[in-house]
Amino acid sequence: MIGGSVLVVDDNDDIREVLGLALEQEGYVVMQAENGRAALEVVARGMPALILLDMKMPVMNGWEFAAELRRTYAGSAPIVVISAAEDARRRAMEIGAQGWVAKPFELGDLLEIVRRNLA
Amino acid sequence: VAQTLLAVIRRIKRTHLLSTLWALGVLTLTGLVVGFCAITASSLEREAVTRQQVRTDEIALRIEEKFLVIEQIVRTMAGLVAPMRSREQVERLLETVLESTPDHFVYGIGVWFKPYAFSPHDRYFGPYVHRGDAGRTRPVLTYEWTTPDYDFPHQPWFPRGLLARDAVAFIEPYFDTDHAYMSSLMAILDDRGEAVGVVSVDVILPQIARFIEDEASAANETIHVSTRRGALLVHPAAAAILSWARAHGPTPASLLDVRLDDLRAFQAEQRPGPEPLVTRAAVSKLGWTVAIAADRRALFSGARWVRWGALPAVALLWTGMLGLYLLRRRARRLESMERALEREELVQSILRESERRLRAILEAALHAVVGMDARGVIVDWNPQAEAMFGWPAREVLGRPASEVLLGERFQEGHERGLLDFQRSDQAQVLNRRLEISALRRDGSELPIELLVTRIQGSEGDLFYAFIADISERKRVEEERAGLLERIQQRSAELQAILDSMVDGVVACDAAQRVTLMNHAASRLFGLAPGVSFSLDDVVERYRISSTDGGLMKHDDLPLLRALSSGAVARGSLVSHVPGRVSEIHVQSSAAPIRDSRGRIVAAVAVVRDVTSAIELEHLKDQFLEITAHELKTPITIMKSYAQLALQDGEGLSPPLRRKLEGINRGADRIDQIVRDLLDVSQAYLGRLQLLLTPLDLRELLEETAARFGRDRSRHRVRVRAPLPALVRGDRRRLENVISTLLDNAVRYSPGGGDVEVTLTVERDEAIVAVEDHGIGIPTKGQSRIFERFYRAHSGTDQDYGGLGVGLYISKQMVELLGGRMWFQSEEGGSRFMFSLPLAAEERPGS
Repeated sequence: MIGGSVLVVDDNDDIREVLGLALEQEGYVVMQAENGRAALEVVARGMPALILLDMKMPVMNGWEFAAELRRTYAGSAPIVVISAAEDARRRAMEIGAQGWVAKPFELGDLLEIVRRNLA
Repeated sequence: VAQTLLAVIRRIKRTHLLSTLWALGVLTLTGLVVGFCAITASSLEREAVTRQQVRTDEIALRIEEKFLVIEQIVRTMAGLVAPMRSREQVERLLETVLESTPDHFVYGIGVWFKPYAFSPHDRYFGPYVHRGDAGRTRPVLTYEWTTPDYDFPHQPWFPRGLLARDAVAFIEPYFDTDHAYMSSLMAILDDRGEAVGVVSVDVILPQIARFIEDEASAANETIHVSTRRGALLVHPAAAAILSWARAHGPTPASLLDVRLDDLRAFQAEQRPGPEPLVTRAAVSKLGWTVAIAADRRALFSGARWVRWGALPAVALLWTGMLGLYLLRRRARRLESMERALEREELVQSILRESERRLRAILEAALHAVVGMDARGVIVDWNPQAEAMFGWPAREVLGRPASEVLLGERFQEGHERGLLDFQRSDQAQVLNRRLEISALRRDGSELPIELLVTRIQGSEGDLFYAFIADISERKRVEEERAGLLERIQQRSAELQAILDSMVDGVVACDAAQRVTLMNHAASRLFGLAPGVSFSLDDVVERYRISSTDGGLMKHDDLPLLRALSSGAVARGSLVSHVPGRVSEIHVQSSAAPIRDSRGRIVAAVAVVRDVTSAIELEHLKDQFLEITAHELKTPITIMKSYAQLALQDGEGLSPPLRRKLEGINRGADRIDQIVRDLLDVSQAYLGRLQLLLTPLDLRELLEETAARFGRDRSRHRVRVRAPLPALVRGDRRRLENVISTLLDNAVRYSPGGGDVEVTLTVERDEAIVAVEDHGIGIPTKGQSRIFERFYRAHSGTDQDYGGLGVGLYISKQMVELLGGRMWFQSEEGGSRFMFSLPLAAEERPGS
């Protein structure tokens, strides 16, 4: 079993749940947050190995979260952007993320990206 | 000073200068003449004086010559007598000598011996021979000494004579007895050299006077001779002088008693006036003085004539000069008069010629021409006037023009006196085009145009009326007025129609001036009806832009494009009308208007407000975009759960696996529809995003066809691509384009069959063709085949479903990459083609 903690940040409960199930099945420790603020609280308790980040969220969106994270923690975890927008790739580059996945994605593609970023 | 002088000289006219020079010349000449005369006169005077002096000298010389002769006689006598001792011998000698001398020359000759010197017997011996009185020619021999009173040795002259041993002595004249004598004496010497007697040769004064009488020629002069002691010897007026002297003092015995002073006093009394001019010459041998006294006036009469002769000469000169001047003036006046006369003749001939020409012109003129004198009486009536008014010239000449042309109607009207140039205000009539109604001979009226001009004739001013028949023009004008009225009526109708239109109508002329604008157009531009509208800055004022943004160029407005290109011009515009909140969208279609010769003279544009339609379209696209976006999340959830369930592996029964896979496929299908919808809206909003990379079109075609063919059994896809074709494009998008074409080809070929894909390279572009052998596209739908959501087979038996966006997106995509898409279709198959520009390195020749 391959270890590592993954923080899933998405305002959609179903997305969080299905990704959590899929990642746990792969042996990762999964933490969840429904927006950027909640995610910062999770990070405060312990830095995960990888963060899967939705961009459009209430309370605190992905851009704000990423900026806050970079400002607060030196050497923070790599981020993979998960976005429904057509320009997911551009958004990922904007915040300096290590990878991106456009919704709707193939589950296998996502798991492959997670695996690569935790290797 | 010099400059002032020069200015003055310059101001003097040339003629004045000449006159001045002329006068100066005459003055100089006058001076010369006067001077010449003066000089001549004085030289003449000098000459007269000199001549008189010469004469005086001559007289003196002649007297002296006579006394030389006398001297010779005395010497000879003294020599001859000395040895003689006979009385008879001496007496004969005396008589011979006296007779041999001219009778007026010598009066008497005497030989006087000292007492007892001639003979011891005679105390006195002194024979004297003298000329007889008048009538007696024989000399008279006297012995004066016999007179007791005359004791010659005691006479004063005797001792004087004894002393004259070597030279003859001329003694002072003296009066003796009866005559005044002038004696020339010489001593008679004996052989011992002792003076024994005296020889005397006597001349009496009248004889001397005769010498001079021969000389005196002029009446105005007197010649007198005076002795050394100042006694007068000779004077022509001796008698008068003597009588004057007797009256003024002791009685003179002879002239010798009259002194020169007395003579002067006498003369002063006799002839008052200027001192006579006296020239003197000395007779040196005798000590006499010869004087010629001449009246100066007589003497200088010649000089005086010369002196005064200057006056007539000068007068003559001046008269001549004046005469010349007057003659010249007269000649000049004559000349100028002649010239004036010539000019007058020339002017007359020119005037005659001018009149002749005028007449010729009048005869040939197009207009009727009527000539009138100052009172308006007809003096000229050309053939055209005859034709126009029906009057022959001979019947109207001499009649007033107003009567002939205007008839009686205007006798009281304002035209009364129009053609009487003495009464009318000429400025109102002359050289102005007047339109009046004239009368023909038959009484009919004729509208005419009249232009009266004044011509200067040789016999006073003439007035010529040039008359044109304007009845045709009048008729045309009326016709035109009728036409104009109809046009205005039609125009009003059109305006009413235009104003009731929903669409705006704007028209402009060739100079881009708005000539027409209906109510709808005014509303569209936020104007009150009838407010003028300018195209000059319409783009700036209404911020007109094309639909893709950016302010439109003024000349790109459809109306102006139609005007400049001559073709129908269409355009979609966005505008901000001042006073309105939101922008408006308009579609404009403009067409040129040509005149009968095909020139573009105006353009008209129909402007439709499509703002609400555009807004609706936008709303639809926004809705589409949001919906599509929102659908992505549930699709992701569906797919993820299905895929998660599928990961359970061996635990899944095959039917469950198929069901899960079905869910996943359905989600994929929804995803594809969502993507298409998104693309449509993005394309319509111009927001399609491309990822450009170089790619080989041949490889892409082969790959896509292969993948496509895997899932099909009834259709065969054949690719014919002999050459690679490198282009720049978005691989995924181009794949979609090719898929769409293949999909359509297969879908509308229900009977199966081959789908042929060919790739050709033409010049600088690659052309891809996808050809099927299916049902084709209905003709009526062909023009709309590339519209979005259009489905040519919709609602027919061949409606195989679909959004109707595939071709739309494909065409947009190809055009975004710089290519074209088009098709050919008929029953039995369609052929869709698209082109893409070759990447630069792929182009032949580059």
